[in-house]
Amino acid sequence: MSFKYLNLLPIALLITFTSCSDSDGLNRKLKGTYEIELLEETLESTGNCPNEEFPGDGVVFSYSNPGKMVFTNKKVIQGSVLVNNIRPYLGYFEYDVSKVNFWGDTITYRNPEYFQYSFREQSFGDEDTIIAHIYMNGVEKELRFVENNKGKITELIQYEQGGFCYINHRITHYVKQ
Amino acid sequence: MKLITFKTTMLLALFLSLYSCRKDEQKERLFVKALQSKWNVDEIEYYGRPSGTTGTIKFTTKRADFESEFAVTNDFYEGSIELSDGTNEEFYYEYFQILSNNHMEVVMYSTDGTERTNYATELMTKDISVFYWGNAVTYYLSK
Repeated sequence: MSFKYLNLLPIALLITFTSCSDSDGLNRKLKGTYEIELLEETLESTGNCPNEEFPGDGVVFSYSNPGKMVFTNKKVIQGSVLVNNIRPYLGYFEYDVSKVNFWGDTITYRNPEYFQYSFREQSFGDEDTIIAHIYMNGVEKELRFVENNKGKITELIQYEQGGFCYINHRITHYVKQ
Repeated sequence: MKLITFKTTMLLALFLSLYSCRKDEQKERLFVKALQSKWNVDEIEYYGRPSGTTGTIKFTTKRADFESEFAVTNDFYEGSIELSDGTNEEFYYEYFQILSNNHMEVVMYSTDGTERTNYATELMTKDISVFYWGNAVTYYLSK
């Protein structure tokens, strides 16, 4: 037995104390305001929906509502969810149109609509993709950042799955360049 | 030698657990520091629908001489609310963390003790706060 592994102790401590700020680098890189030129909200049925209004696979509904999406540098003191005990940041949507007709019903958007977010990078196939986990009204959603070949963010795609006969709910925010 | 390694491991474990406790205390301290001040009520929503009601709400640091059989902490403070719909009331409040979901809850009691309302924090930064009561009432506050 020797102390040789004790040499690793400072490194272990450093990892322990800096792990809380893993998402801070991405937040610095991606924080700010994204002007949304076009917003498309789509419901896709992935299962066998008995209702005639959900005719199997494919796009069921979409509409457009531009606005902006803001990722602030404000740490959330108390939130509905803490990821790995990391305090997330505050973000919000501001839509140009606060009322839209959605599948025969009128939806009123809150302006601003607050959410909490934290970042992480994830690999899909050969591509590294930046994922933000956002929490709105206590529900976790995934927000994927799509970059062009110059590293500019072109799309923010929000995913949510579940509900009635496995509906994929996708909101694509096309970012004004 | 084995004993020294064991002691080092135990010390490290103790240090990490103390660090984790300190973070919990820090979270509560940050919450209280942000809460106890004057807030603008930007909006009150009822069942997700905006009411147009605005105003101010104060959570003071002044201790209240108040008791309730429903109290969780028995540490009460004074507060007041003024709204554009004509509401102008004083209240007593206490705050505590709900262990099951990490929410901070603020319970407001009428000064005669006949009414109490639990508000959970949906989210709070230093200058923005969203409180809700079930799915029925949501307060949007800012400084």
